[in-house]
Amino acid sequence: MDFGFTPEQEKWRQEIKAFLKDNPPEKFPTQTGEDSWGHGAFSYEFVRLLGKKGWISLTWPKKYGGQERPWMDLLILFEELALARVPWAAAAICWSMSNTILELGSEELKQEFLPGIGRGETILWLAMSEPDAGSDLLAMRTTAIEQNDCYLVNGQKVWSALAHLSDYGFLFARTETDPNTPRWASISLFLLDKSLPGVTVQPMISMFGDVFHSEVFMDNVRIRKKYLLGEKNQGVIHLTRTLEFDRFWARFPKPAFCHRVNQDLVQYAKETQCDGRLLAEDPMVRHKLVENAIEIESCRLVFWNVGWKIDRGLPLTYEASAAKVLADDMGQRFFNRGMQIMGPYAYLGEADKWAPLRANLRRWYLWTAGDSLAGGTSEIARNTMAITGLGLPRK
Amino acid sequence: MDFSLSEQQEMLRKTARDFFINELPKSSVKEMAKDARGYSLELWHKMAELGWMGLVLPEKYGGSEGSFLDLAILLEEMGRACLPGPLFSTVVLGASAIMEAGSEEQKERLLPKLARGELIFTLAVAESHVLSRPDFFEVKARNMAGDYIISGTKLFVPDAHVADYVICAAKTGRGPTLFLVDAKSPGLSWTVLPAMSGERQCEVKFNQVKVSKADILGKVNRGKEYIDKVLTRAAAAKCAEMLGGAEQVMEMTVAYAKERVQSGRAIGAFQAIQHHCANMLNDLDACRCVTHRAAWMVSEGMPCAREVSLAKAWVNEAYHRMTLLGHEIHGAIAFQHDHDMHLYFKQAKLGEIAFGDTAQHEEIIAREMGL
Repeated sequence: MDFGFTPEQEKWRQEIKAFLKDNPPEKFPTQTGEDSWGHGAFSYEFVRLLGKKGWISLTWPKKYGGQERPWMDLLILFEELALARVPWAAAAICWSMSNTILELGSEELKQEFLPGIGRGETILWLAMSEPDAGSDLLAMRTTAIEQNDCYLVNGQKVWSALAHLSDYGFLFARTETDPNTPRWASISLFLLDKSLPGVTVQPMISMFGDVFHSEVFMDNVRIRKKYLLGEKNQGVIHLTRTLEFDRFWARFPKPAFCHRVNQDLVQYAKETQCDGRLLAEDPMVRHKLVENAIEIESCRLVFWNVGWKIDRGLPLTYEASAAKVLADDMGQRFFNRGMQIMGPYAYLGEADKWAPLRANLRRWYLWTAGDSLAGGTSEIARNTMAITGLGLPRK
Repeated sequence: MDFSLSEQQEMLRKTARDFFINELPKSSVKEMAKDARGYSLELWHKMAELGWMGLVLPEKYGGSEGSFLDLAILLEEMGRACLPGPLFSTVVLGASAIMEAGSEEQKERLLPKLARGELIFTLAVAESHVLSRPDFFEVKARNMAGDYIISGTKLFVPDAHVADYVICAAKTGRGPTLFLVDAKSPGLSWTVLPAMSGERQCEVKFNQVKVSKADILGKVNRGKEYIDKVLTRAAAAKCAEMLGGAEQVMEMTVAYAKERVQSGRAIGAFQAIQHHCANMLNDLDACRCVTHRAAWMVSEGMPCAREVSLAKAWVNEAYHRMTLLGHEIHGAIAFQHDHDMHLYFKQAKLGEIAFGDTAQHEEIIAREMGL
């Protein structure tokens, strides 16, 4: 057993820290607000700089521009980027989708997509949920019917995160419409070019007034056959794996990010007077800050445990779902406590040094209403844990 | 990073698990709870033969030079088996205090016997108004021409009723000092306190107990450093014991959810039960991570007050939640004495209040965070 990092890994961590010091994340222009864990906003410029460093393709084979570095190095990168709150919202998702392309894609597709993704120029979004296919994803109705050299796609996706800023959709659609075919054998995976005729991306205004998700309408869209990813009608297994990956990779940075915010809250409590004493002297405030630290650190270790399994090539069954539940539960309690510590002062409009923390905390807190739904609801994830992880019966 | 056990550790785990399955049925755990001594001497000697008392001691004192992590793995199995008796007091409290503070002569005199299972030790810290702050000790040791006279009452001293030596932390001038007190010393008396389960905690009265200078453990007035180190180890060790119990709770609860049929199907097919089990699984996995990290840091000799407190604070709460859900899923049957679930419910609460409850460890973390 060893909970430390190797000297090489520590050196790599320092290299990332130095890069972030030379390129302060807050200096980059952003195209959209924070995502749910507030890893900063999304900035094309910053993500392209990551690409230029070769850090998006860090683990890929050399022939696709990668460095064949171990997963542990990517996890360390994720942790450091999250600690620095970089504007990379969609990038974590791209990392996981590019792995699917590496795994399933034809040579032609890999050559076409990977260099652009690696440079941070091609951004992907996940086109999965539909108005009537949420937790019951296999009920999706978007069809992709084989026609000559194309698939003819008709239907509608919803909750397509950052689709309005992305280039390609990671599209799941029904390729077998015979009702006698089992649902798991009727879905396929495509790379959908947003600029194709018939694709309409309709941004959705969220509960805090701006855009994160979009609806995507597909009206007789012709996707050329070569953009089928993996085997026809075998998309369900990829769907499951994509979701599992998304649950893990999209949340791995969360404990690091929350740790950083908790450090800010500690500092705030040490500098802020209320009712005749520092907040840091209020036992209830101290209690909340410490509970935050305990839950964040426990969560972080569980994520490293899963990451270590991935690095070792050990099979995962329930772990990504479990980590998702743990992180999202933790986050809901964490941001709630943050709001409680600030109290009414969270709504001050003053432009003092705490203004960014106040504004972001309000936003992150509101996001927690959606955290336990994103990437599959926590209830579905608990079902997976019980059935796949613990072997409890389905019926 | 490496979350796996070494081959030797896997072997130790298997040996211990098999041993307890064969040697310590739960019926005997329950019998021992009513026994005056509280544990089986036969089992004690068998464990000594396996080398478990000396697992982490240096070879020159009859030990096998294992790491604290090895001990943690053994303690997990002991927690799983609900092992009663003074092993924790002797090995985690006694041996740690002697290793930390003892002179070479004391180590040579005591540790080989401890390793052979011939001596039982315990540590007396708490008092009626002190749980963790030695500066408030009321038990005092007065210097009388080189020897010391200890007076006062210690509380919650584990296994003092069977101990050969009570290591007593008493106030001596500026700070506390550790004394190695022969349990048969004139003036020393004990009463066993009411127990929730098979644990034996005692009130130990020191009525003008004379201790020679040679039985001071470590430096005079420097006891706090030793106590802090031993109690940090004890908190990490307690986490390991609780983790083992938590694993057993998870396994027995899931097994029951698979076999118990209501409304025509196994209750484990109901989502309400599945989600309870999923929540237990998350608590358990996090317990394992924080406990192993803490034990690893103790093993490596790293400063780890924060990490041990973090582990204890998490395990305290998580194990409690798990045992409540374990009872919920087992239903009324686990309320019966015959059932084993309640042993763990009790173990969880006893573990939680031992060597620092959540609030106490949160305070340590708060200070480490600069609050």
